Amino acid sequence: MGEAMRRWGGGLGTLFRILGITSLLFLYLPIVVLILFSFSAGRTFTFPIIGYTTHWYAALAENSDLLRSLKNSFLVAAGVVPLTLLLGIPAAYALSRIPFRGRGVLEHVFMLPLMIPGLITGLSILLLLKEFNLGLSLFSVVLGHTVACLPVVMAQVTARLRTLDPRLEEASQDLGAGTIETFLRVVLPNLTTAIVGSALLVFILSFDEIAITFMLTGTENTLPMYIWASLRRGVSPELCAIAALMVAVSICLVFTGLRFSKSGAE
Amino acid sequence: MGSTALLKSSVREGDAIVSFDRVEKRFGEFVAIEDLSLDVRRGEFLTLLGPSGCGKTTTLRLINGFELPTRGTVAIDGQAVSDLPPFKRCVNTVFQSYALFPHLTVEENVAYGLVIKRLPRRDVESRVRDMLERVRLSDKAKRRPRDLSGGQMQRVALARALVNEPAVLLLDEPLGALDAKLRRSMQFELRRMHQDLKLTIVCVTHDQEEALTMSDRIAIMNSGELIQLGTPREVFERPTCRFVADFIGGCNFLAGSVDGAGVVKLTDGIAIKDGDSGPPRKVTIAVRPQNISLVSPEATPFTAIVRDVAYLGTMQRVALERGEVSLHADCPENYADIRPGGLVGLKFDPEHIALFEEG
Repeated sequence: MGEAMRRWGGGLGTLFRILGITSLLFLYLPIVVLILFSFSAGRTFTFPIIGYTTHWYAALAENSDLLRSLKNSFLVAAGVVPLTLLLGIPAAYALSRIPFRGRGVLEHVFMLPLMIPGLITGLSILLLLKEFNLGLSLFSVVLGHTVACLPVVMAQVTARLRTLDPRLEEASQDLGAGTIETFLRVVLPNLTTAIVGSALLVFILSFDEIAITFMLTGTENTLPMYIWASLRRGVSPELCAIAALMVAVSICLVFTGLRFSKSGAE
Repeated sequence: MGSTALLKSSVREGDAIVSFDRVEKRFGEFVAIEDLSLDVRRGEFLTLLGPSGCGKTTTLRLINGFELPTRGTVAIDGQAVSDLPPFKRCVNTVFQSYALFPHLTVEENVAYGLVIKRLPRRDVESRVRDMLERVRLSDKAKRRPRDLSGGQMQRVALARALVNEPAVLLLDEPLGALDAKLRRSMQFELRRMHQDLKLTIVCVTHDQEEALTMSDRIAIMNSGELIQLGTPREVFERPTCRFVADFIGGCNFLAGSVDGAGVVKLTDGIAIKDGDSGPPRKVTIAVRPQNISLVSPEATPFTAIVRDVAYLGTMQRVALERGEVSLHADCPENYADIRPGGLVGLKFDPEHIALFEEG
């Protein structure tokens, strides 16, 4: 269609090209500005930038509050990722393979936590924890993130299971493998792409999350919380440096995920 | 284990290895199988043949355990298997479209059943090697299923099942995904394996040619019922009902009757055959296309108009019309000068006519 579109779709093509470029600018210009200012020698955010420095990045390594919040964010994500996988994979399997009462309804509502605002999820878990007299800590943050991220894992794994021939599982049973062995030897290896993909996504979501964290964290701060708190003292080039690093990490994770899903799809 | 070994040595070849005793299978309101009693004999190649939805695949799934009977019992090797899940049954299946494990290599696919049984690694390796040699895929051992052709995948699926030395090998439309030429050569290969390895095979197919070529016996099914069971020759030459005659080989049907003197007549009074010993009644007269000869219209009162002539290489298929009734006749290519629109006479040997009761 490429050539025909170029030859006869002239006016429309130009319009769409302009719209495309505008939305790309809209999406990425702020990030580019942010990265530029993180290297700015001056403390003010005005163009033209007078000089360039890596000073702000070096300063990050000295900032113990920041490093602590970074560590906390990693700790939370390190809890959320395995927990969502452990709950989400069997749940998705049950949802797509095992008939039970109410399955039809559940199939439609399991995505709900993803659409409920984080503050509401946080609030409801907060109430629940109060009910059981449990204190707030990074652990309660992990619980909150798990609730919010579970649908991500379930959606990806369910989508993969839908394309996985159920006869593979029958073949495995036919060859003498029980249901659990079949799950471990046949189903799980064929879910690798979906599992790695959703693990990366959950990691990023948890790492960036602020609303639920805000409601559920005790005395400890996560990185987004630290950034938010620092903003009260105004935007600094240091903050830009942190943000730029987070962008870099996110991009790396996205590309890892993409590469992995490509090699899996072969 | 000891008792099964004893059992095996004490039964003769030809004894039932799978028995269906008054089996009924319902899916909700839908009756998939109705009152099926059938014995699969040890060492035979039995084909379940019928149109789609006739219950043949359900019958197969009652043997490998993916369906359980609603009523009646299925027994394998003399033991009722209603409580045995698929992974505890001594049968193996070649699935439709093969269901090879995409994440495993060819040799890992074949080894799967033996690895599950926790056999020593050396035994697994040697048995897998032998089996791959038998299906001529030794050079593909390290490949993934997606790198194989349809025929090769079919052989891997066969090897994966056979390496477990099943008491019964089940084939679910085993050749459906192959092209015509490959299908024909695989038909003979399956037959050869059946004889060489003294296997008991139950095969499901909707292809009558496949069933006739490969089977010792054919069980013809329609809407959940077993219609006729017999050797290929029996079901082809002596179909017990209109459905079987039509499904196997194709057939022309003419309305007629038998009079008190035992003469079989068409509804317009033309006598076809005499000497019928039954009582006077209405019948359907069945005659196969290849048993109709076309002659000059003066030679017989039984005439028809030629509608169309199709060239089939070794013969020509002639579409005929006789009043309301359409007929087909297969004739040698150089038989006569037959043109669309012309009148021809029809003759057939009374030996090659079957009569079915009306209704």
